Amino acid sequence: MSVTTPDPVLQVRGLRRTFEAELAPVRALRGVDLDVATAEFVSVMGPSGCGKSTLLNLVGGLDLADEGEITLDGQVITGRDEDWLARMRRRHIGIVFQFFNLLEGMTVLENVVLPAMIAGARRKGAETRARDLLDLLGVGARADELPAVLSGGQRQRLAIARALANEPTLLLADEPTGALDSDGGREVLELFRRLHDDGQTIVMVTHSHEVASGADRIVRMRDGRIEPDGTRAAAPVAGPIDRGAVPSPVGRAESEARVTRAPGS
Amino acid sequence: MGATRLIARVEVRRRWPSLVGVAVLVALVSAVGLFHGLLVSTRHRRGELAVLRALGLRRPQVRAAVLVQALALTAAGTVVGVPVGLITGRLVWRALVSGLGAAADPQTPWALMAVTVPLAALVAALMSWVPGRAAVRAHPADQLRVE
Repeated sequence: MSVTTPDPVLQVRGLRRTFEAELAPVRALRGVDLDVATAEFVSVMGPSGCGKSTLLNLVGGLDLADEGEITLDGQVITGRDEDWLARMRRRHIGIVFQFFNLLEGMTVLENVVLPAMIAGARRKGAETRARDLLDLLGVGARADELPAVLSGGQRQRLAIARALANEPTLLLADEPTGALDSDGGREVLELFRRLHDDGQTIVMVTHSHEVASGADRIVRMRDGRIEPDGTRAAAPVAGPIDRGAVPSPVGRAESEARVTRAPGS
Repeated sequence: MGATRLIARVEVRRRWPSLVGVAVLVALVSAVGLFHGLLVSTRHRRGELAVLRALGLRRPQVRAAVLVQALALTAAGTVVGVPVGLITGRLVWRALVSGLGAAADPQTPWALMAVTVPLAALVAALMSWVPGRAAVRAHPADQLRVE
Protein backbone atom coordinates (compact mmCIF):
# COMPACT_ATOMS: atom_id res chain seq x y z
CA MET A 1 0.00 0.00 0.00
CA SER A 2 1.25 3.43 -0.84
CA VAL A 3 1.06 6.27 1.66
CA THR A 4 0.62 9.63 0.01
CA THR A 5 1.16 12.88 1.84
CA PRO A 6 -1.14 15.78 1.11
CA ASP A 7 0.60 18.90 -0.13
CA PRO A 8 4.16 17.52 -0.05
CA VAL A 9 6.85 20.14 0.06
CA LEU A 10 9.45 17.44 -0.40
CA GLN A 11 9.15 14.40 -2.65
CA VAL A 12 11.90 11.83 -2.97
CA ARG A 13 11.57 9.06 -5.53
CA GLY A 14 13.87 6.13 -6.19
CA LEU A 15 16.92 7.80 -4.68
CA ARG A 16 20.16 5.86 -5.00
CA ARG A 17 23.68 6.76 -3.96
CA THR A 18 26.75 4.55 -4.02
CA PHE A 19 30.16 5.56 -2.68
CA GLU A 20 33.36 4.12 -4.04
CA ALA A 21 35.43 2.43 -1.34
CA GLU A 22 38.70 0.53 -1.28
CA LEU A 23 37.24 -2.93 -0.79
CA ALA A 24 33.84 -2.63 -2.44
CA PRO A 25 31.36 0.09 -3.36
CA VAL A 26 29.12 1.15 -0.48
CA ARG A 27 25.49 1.35 -1.53
CA ALA A 28 24.37 4.01 0.92
CA LEU A 29 20.91 4.49 -0.59
CA ARG A 30 19.18 1.74 -2.52
CA GLY A 31 16.00 3.35 -3.76
CA VAL A 32 14.43 5.68 -1.21
CA ASP A 33 10.94 7.14 -1.55
CA LEU A 34 9.72 9.77 0.88
CA ASP A 35 7.11 12.50 1.05
CA VAL A 36 7.17 15.33 3.57
CA ALA A 37 4.19 17.64 3.88
CA THR A 38 4.36 21.36 4.42
CA ALA A 39 4.80 22.18 8.12
CA GLU A 40 5.43 18.54 8.96
CA PHE A 41 8.10 17.42 11.44
CA VAL A 42 9.60 14.12 10.30
CA SER A 43 12.29 12.08 12.00
CA VAL A 44 14.41 9.76 9.91
CA MET A 45 15.69 7.11 12.28
CA GLY A 46 18.02 4.21 11.88
CA PRO A 47 21.33 2.73 12.94
CA SER A 48 24.70 4.17 11.94
CA GLY A 49 25.46 3.54 8.30
CA CYS A 50 21.85 3.02 7.24
CA GLY A 51 22.01 5.98 4.84
CA LYS A 52 20.02 8.57 6.76
CA SER A 53 22.71 11.26 6.66
CA THR A 54 23.30 10.54 2.98
CA LEU A 55 19.59 11.08 2.38
CA LEU A 56 19.76 14.37 4.25
CA ASN A 57 22.83 15.49 2.28
CA LEU A 58 21.10 14.73 -1.01
CA VAL A 59 17.91 16.53 -0.01
CA GLY A 60 20.06 19.49 1.05
CA GLY A 61 21.91 19.49 -2.26
CA LEU A 62 25.24 18.86 -0.52
CA ASP A 63 25.81 15.72 -2.54
CA LEU A 64 24.66 14.42 -5.92
CA ALA A 65 22.45 11.37 -6.35
CA ASP A 66 23.30 8.56 -8.74
CA GLU A 67 19.65 7.89 -9.55
CA GLY A 68 16.24 9.10 -8.51
CA GLU A 69 14.49 12.42 -8.19
CA ILE A 70 14.06 14.97 -5.43
CA THR A 71 11.41 17.65 -5.75
CA LEU A 72 11.48 20.52 -3.28
CA ASP A 73 8.73 23.09 -3.25
CA GLY A 74 7.73 22.05 -6.77
CA GLN A 75 11.26 22.22 -8.21
CA VAL A 76 13.25 19.18 -9.22
CA ILE A 77 16.66 19.59 -7.61
CA THR A 78 18.32 16.42 -8.86
CA GLY A 79 20.43 16.63 -12.01
CA ARG A 80 21.39 20.24 -11.25
CA ASP A 81 24.94 21.51 -11.01
CA GLU A 82 26.48 22.47 -7.69
CA ASP A 83 26.18 26.20 -8.21
CA TRP A 84 22.45 25.90 -8.88
CA LEU A 85 22.16 23.82 -5.74
CA ALA A 86 24.08 26.44 -3.76
CA ARG A 87 21.64 29.12 -4.87
CA MET A 88 18.74 26.79 -4.02
CA ARG A 89 20.13 26.20 -0.52
CA ARG A 90 20.26 29.92 0.20
CA ARG A 91 16.51 30.28 -0.04
CA HIS A 92 15.06 26.85 0.61
CA ILE A 93 17.32 24.89 2.93
CA GLY A 94 18.54 25.45 6.46
CA ILE A 95 20.93 22.85 7.83
CA VAL A 96 21.73 22.04 11.44
CA PHE A 97 24.74 19.77 11.93
CA GLN A 98 25.58 17.43 14.77
CA PHE A 99 28.81 19.25 15.56
CA PHE A 100 27.36 22.72 14.96
CA ASN A 101 29.90 23.70 12.27
CA LEU A 102 29.92 27.30 13.41
CA LEU A 103 32.41 29.78 12.02
CA GLU A 104 34.57 30.21 15.09
CA GLY A 105 36.31 33.37 13.90
CA MET A 106 33.01 35.22 13.62
CA THR A 107 30.84 36.52 16.42
CA VAL A 108 27.51 34.93 17.27
CA LEU A 109 25.72 37.71 15.39
CA GLU A 110 27.99 37.46 12.34
CA ASN A 111 27.36 33.71 12.14
CA VAL A 112 23.65 34.42 11.71
CA VAL A 113 24.07 37.46 9.48
CA LEU A 114 26.32 35.67 7.02
CA PRO A 115 23.76 33.35 5.32
CA ALA A 116 21.45 36.30 4.68
CA MET A 117 24.31 38.28 3.19
CA ILE A 118 25.33 35.32 1.03
CA ALA A 119 21.72 35.33 -0.18
CA GLY A 120 22.08 38.98 -1.12
CA ALA A 121 20.49 40.72 1.88
CA ARG A 122 21.76 44.09 3.03
CA ARG A 123 23.79 43.99 6.22
CA LYS A 124 21.45 46.20 8.24
CA GLY A 125 18.35 44.16 7.44
CA ALA A 126 20.25 40.91 7.97
CA GLU A 127 21.45 42.12 11.37
CA THR A 128 17.96 43.10 12.47
CA ARG A 129 16.59 39.67 11.59
CA ALA A 130 19.63 37.94 13.11
CA ARG A 131 19.16 39.79 16.41
CA ASP A 132 15.46 38.87 16.43
CA LEU A 133 16.33 35.22 15.81
CA LEU A 134 19.02 35.19 18.48
CA ASP A 135 16.60 36.74 20.97
CA LEU A 136 13.96 34.19 20.03
CA LEU A 137 16.41 31.35 20.56
CA GLY A 138 17.72 32.75 23.83
CA VAL A 139 21.25 33.68 22.79
CA GLY A 140 20.62 37.33 21.97
CA ALA A 141 22.66 38.48 24.97
CA ARG A 142 25.73 36.74 23.56
CA ALA A 143 25.46 38.34 20.10
CA ASP A 144 28.84 40.04 20.20
CA GLU A 145 30.78 37.14 21.66
CA LEU A 146 32.58 34.37 19.86
CA PRO A 147 30.87 30.96 19.62
CA ALA A 148 33.69 29.35 21.61
CA VAL A 149 32.35 30.81 24.87
CA LEU A 150 28.89 29.26 24.44
CA SER A 151 27.71 26.01 25.98
CA GLY A 152 26.87 23.06 23.70
CA GLY A 153 23.14 23.79 23.84
CA GLN A 154 23.73 27.47 23.11
CA ARG A 155 26.01 26.60 20.22
CA GLN A 156 23.34 24.39 18.70
CA ARG A 157 20.72 27.11 19.21
CA LEU A 158 23.06 29.47 17.40
CA ALA A 159 23.39 26.91 14.59
CA ILE A 160 19.59 26.73 14.41
CA ALA A 161 19.36 30.52 14.26
CA ARG A 162 21.84 30.48 11.40
CA ALA A 163 19.83 27.79 9.62
CA LEU A 164 16.68 29.92 9.96
CA ALA A 165 18.33 33.15 8.80
CA ASN A 166 16.81 33.00 5.32
CA GLU A 167 13.42 31.60 6.40
CA PRO A 168 14.05 28.27 4.66
CA THR A 169 11.33 26.12 3.18
CA LEU A 170 12.87 23.09 4.83
CA LEU A 171 14.97 22.76 7.97
CA LEU A 172 17.28 19.75 7.90
CA ALA A 173 18.89 18.54 11.10
CA ASP A 174 21.54 15.83 11.19
CA GLU A 175 21.72 14.32 14.69
CA PRO A 176 21.14 17.77 16.23
CA THR A 177 21.29 16.44 19.79
CA GLY A 178 24.10 13.98 19.15
CA ALA A 179 26.83 16.16 20.63
CA LEU A 180 24.77 17.52 23.51
CA ASP A 181 24.10 16.47 27.06
CA SER A 182 20.55 15.77 28.25
CA ASP A 183 19.73 19.39 29.04
CA GLY A 184 21.16 20.65 25.77
CA GLY A 185 19.33 17.97 23.82
CA ARG A 186 16.05 18.78 25.54
CA GLU A 187 16.49 22.48 24.79
CA VAL A 188 17.07 21.77 21.12
CA LEU A 189 14.13 19.41 20.81
CA GLU A 190 11.80 21.84 22.53
CA LEU A 191 13.02 24.48 20.12
CA PHE A 192 12.28 22.26 17.14
CA ARG A 193 8.78 21.68 18.44
CA ARG A 194 8.23 25.42 18.83
CA LEU A 195 9.46 26.01 15.30
CA HIS A 196 7.24 23.22 14.05
CA ASP A 197 4.25 24.71 15.87
CA ASP A 198 5.00 27.95 14.03
CA GLY A 199 4.76 26.07 10.71
CA GLN A 200 8.38 25.19 9.99
CA THR A 201 8.87 22.01 7.98
CA ILE A 202 11.58 19.92 9.62
CA VAL A 203 13.36 16.72 8.64
CA MET A 204 15.56 15.45 11.43
CA VAL A 205 17.95 12.53 11.26
CA THR A 206 18.67 10.64 14.44
CA HIS A 207 19.56 7.20 15.65
CA SER A 208 17.76 7.77 18.95
CA HIS A 209 14.19 6.64 19.61
CA GLU A 210 13.78 9.32 22.27
CA VAL A 211 14.77 12.13 19.97
CA ALA A 212 12.78 10.75 17.03
CA SER A 213 9.63 10.47 19.12
CA GLY A 214 9.44 14.26 19.32
CA ALA A 215 8.44 14.43 15.66
CA ASP A 216 5.04 14.07 13.96
CA ARG A 217 6.19 11.05 12.07
CA ILE A 218 9.06 8.61 12.27
CA VAL A 219 10.54 7.12 9.13
CA ARG A 220 12.78 4.16 9.81
CA MET A 221 15.73 3.32 7.59
CA ARG A 222 17.85 0.24 7.34
CA ASP A 223 20.52 -0.77 4.81
CA GLY A 224 19.89 2.17 2.54
CA ARG A 225 16.14 1.72 2.36
CA ILE A 226 13.12 2.99 4.20
CA GLU A 227 11.65 0.06 6.05
CA PRO A 228 8.50 -1.08 4.33
CA ASP A 229 6.63 -2.21 7.43
CA GLY A 230 4.58 0.45 9.12
CA THR A 231 5.24 -0.53 12.72
CA ARG A 232 5.10 1.60 15.81
CA ALA A 233 8.26 3.13 17.15
CA ALA A 234 10.15 0.74 19.36
CA ALA A 235 10.32 1.32 23.08
CA PRO A 236 12.90 3.91 24.01
CA VAL A 237 16.38 2.79 24.79
CA ALA A 238 18.88 4.34 27.15
CA GLY A 239 20.42 7.43 25.64
CA PRO A 240 21.53 10.94 26.39
CA ILE A 241 17.94 12.14 26.61
CA ASP A 242 15.48 10.20 28.69
CA ARG A 243 11.79 10.00 27.88
CA GLY A 244 10.83 12.28 30.73
CA ALA A 245 13.15 14.94 29.47
CA VAL A 246 11.35 15.10 26.14
CA PRO A 247 7.71 15.84 26.81
CA SER A 248 5.46 15.45 23.82
CA PRO A 249 3.87 18.63 22.61
CA VAL A 250 0.24 19.27 23.43
CA GLY A 251 -2.08 17.30 21.19
CA ARG A 252 0.71 15.22 19.81
CA ALA A 253 1.36 12.44 22.30
CA GLU A 254 4.27 10.22 21.61
CA SER A 255 1.90 7.31 21.17
CA GLU A 256 0.62 9.05 18.09
CA ALA A 257 4.03 9.15 16.49
CA ARG A 258 3.84 6.62 13.77
CA VAL A 259 6.33 4.86 11.67
CA THR A 260 5.39 5.45 8.10
CA ARG A 261 5.64 3.26 5.10
CA ALA A 262 7.63 4.49 2.22
CA PRO A 263 5.45 5.78 -0.59
CA GLY A 264 4.96 3.06 -3.08
CA SER A 265 5.77 0.27 -0.72
CA MET B 1 81.90 63.01 -5.51
CA GLY B 2 81.19 62.39 -9.21
CA ALA B 3 84.07 59.95 -9.55
CA THR B 4 82.98 58.05 -6.43
CA ARG B 5 79.45 57.71 -7.69
CA LEU B 6 80.78 56.48 -11.03
CA ILE B 7 82.97 53.88 -9.32
CA ALA B 8 80.07 52.76 -7.19
CA ARG B 9 77.83 52.47 -10.23
CA VAL B 10 80.41 50.43 -12.05
CA GLU B 11 80.66 48.20 -9.01
CA VAL B 12 76.89 47.75 -8.95
CA ARG B 13 76.80 47.12 -12.71
CA ARG B 14 79.48 44.48 -12.31
CA ARG B 15 77.48 42.75 -9.61
CA TRP B 16 74.14 43.39 -11.31
CA PRO B 17 73.60 39.79 -12.57
CA SER B 18 74.14 38.35 -9.13
CA LEU B 19 71.93 41.04 -7.53
CA VAL B 20 69.17 40.29 -10.02
CA GLY B 21 69.68 36.58 -9.37
CA VAL B 22 69.26 37.08 -5.65
CA ALA B 23 66.15 39.20 -6.22
CA VAL B 24 64.62 36.58 -8.55
CA LEU B 25 65.47 33.84 -6.06
CA VAL B 26 63.83 35.79 -3.23
CA ALA B 27 60.76 36.40 -5.42
CA LEU B 28 60.55 32.71 -6.33
CA VAL B 29 60.91 31.61 -2.71
CA SER B 30 58.20 34.11 -1.76
CA ALA B 31 55.89 32.80 -4.48
CA VAL B 32 56.46 29.20 -3.43
CA GLY B 33 55.93 30.20 0.21
CA LEU B 34 52.68 31.92 -0.71
CA PHE B 35 51.56 28.89 -2.72
CA HIS B 36 52.38 26.51 0.11
CA GLY B 37 50.77 28.78 2.69
CA LEU B 38 47.59 29.02 0.65
CA LEU B 39 47.49 25.28 0.05
CA VAL B 40 47.94 24.51 3.75
CA SER B 41 45.52 27.22 4.81
CA THR B 42 42.87 26.03 2.33
CA ARG B 43 43.32 22.44 3.48
CA HIS B 44 43.10 23.55 7.09
CA ARG B 45 39.94 25.56 6.36
CA ARG B 46 38.22 23.03 4.13
CA GLY B 47 35.59 22.32 6.79
CA GLU B 48 34.89 26.04 7.11
CA LEU B 49 34.75 26.42 3.33
CA ALA B 50 32.35 23.45 3.15
CA VAL B 51 30.13 25.14 5.74
CA LEU B 52 30.15 28.30 3.65
CA ARG B 53 29.13 26.24 0.64
CA ALA B 54 26.39 24.59 2.70
CA LEU B 55 25.15 28.11 3.49
CA GLY B 56 24.92 28.85 -0.21
CA LEU B 57 28.33 30.11 -1.31
CA ARG B 58 28.91 29.10 -4.94
CA ARG B 59 32.17 27.58 -6.15
CA PRO B 60 33.36 30.75 -7.92
CA GLN B 61 32.77 32.63 -4.69
CA VAL B 62 34.88 30.12 -2.74
CA ARG B 63 37.65 30.45 -5.31
CA ALA B 64 37.32 34.23 -5.02
CA ALA B 65 37.71 33.94 -1.24
CA VAL B 66 41.01 32.07 -1.74
CA LEU B 67 42.10 34.70 -4.28
CA VAL B 68 41.30 37.52 -1.87
CA GLN B 69 43.32 35.74 0.81
CA ALA B 70 46.28 35.49 -1.59
CA LEU B 71 45.99 39.15 -2.54
CA ALA B 72 45.67 40.20 1.09
CA LEU B 73 48.83 38.26 2.01
CA THR B 74 50.65 39.77 -0.95
CA ALA B 75 49.43 43.25 -0.09
CA ALA B 76 50.64 42.79 3.48
CA GLY B 77 53.98 41.53 2.16
CA THR B 78 54.23 44.49 -0.20
CA VAL B 79 53.30 47.07 2.43
CA VAL B 80 55.96 45.70 4.77
CA GLY B 81 58.47 44.48 2.19
CA VAL B 82 58.75 47.51 -0.07
CA PRO B 83 59.63 50.04 2.66
CA VAL B 84 61.96 47.53 4.31
CA GLY B 85 63.59 46.88 0.93
CA LEU B 86 63.98 50.57 0.21
CA ILE B 87 65.46 51.31 3.62
CA THR B 88 67.80 48.31 3.43
CA GLY B 89 68.84 49.25 -0.10
CA ARG B 90 69.64 52.78 0.96
CA LEU B 91 71.67 51.59 3.94
CA VAL B 92 73.64 49.13 1.81
CA TRP B 93 74.20 51.73 -0.89
CA ARG B 94 75.45 54.29 1.61
CA ALA B 95 77.74 51.71 3.23
CA LEU B 96 79.10 50.75 -0.17
CA VAL B 97 79.68 54.29 -1.28
CA SER B 98 81.11 55.52 2.01
CA GLY B 99 83.52 52.61 1.87
CA LEU B 100 84.88 54.25 -1.22
CA GLY B 101 85.51 57.43 0.75
CA ALA B 102 82.50 59.52 -0.28
CA ALA B 103 78.74 59.74 0.17
CA ALA B 104 76.11 59.64 -2.54
CA ASP B 105 72.32 59.80 -2.46
CA PRO B 106 70.72 56.55 -3.57
CA GLN B 107 67.96 56.63 -6.15
CA THR B 108 64.48 55.21 -5.56
CA PRO B 109 63.56 52.76 -8.34
CA TRP B 110 60.00 54.02 -8.90
CA ALA B 111 59.67 52.38 -12.31
CA LEU B 112 60.76 49.00 -10.98
CA MET B 113 58.33 49.32 -8.07
CA ALA B 114 55.52 50.26 -10.43
CA VAL B 115 56.09 46.97 -12.26
CA THR B 116 56.76 44.84 -9.18
CA VAL B 117 53.54 45.59 -7.32
CA PRO B 118 51.10 44.52 -10.08
CA LEU B 119 53.42 41.63 -10.93
CA ALA B 120 53.21 40.45 -7.30
CA ALA B 121 49.41 40.65 -7.50
CA LEU B 122 49.44 38.64 -10.72
CA VAL B 123 51.70 35.99 -9.18
CA ALA B 124 49.41 35.86 -6.12
CA ALA B 125 46.39 35.32 -8.37
CA LEU B 126 48.20 32.50 -10.21
CA MET B 127 49.35 30.93 -6.95
CA SER B 128 45.76 30.93 -5.64
CA TRP B 129 44.39 29.03 -8.62
CA VAL B 130 45.38 25.52 -7.54
CA PRO B 131 44.37 25.92 -3.85
CA GLY B 132 41.12 27.54 -4.97
CA ARG B 133 40.36 24.64 -7.26
CA ALA B 134 41.23 22.14 -4.54
CA ALA B 135 38.85 23.91 -2.16
CA VAL B 136 35.83 23.29 -4.40
CA ARG B 137 36.74 19.96 -5.98
CA ALA B 138 34.82 17.75 -3.53
CA HIS B 139 31.11 17.95 -2.75
CA PRO B 140 30.41 19.85 0.48
CA ALA B 141 29.05 16.64 2.02
CA ASP B 142 32.42 14.90 1.47
CA GLN B 143 34.26 17.69 3.21
CA LEU B 144 31.78 17.92 6.06
CA ARG B 145 31.91 14.15 6.52
CA VAL B 146 35.68 14.16 7.14
CA GLU B 147 35.44 16.91 9.76
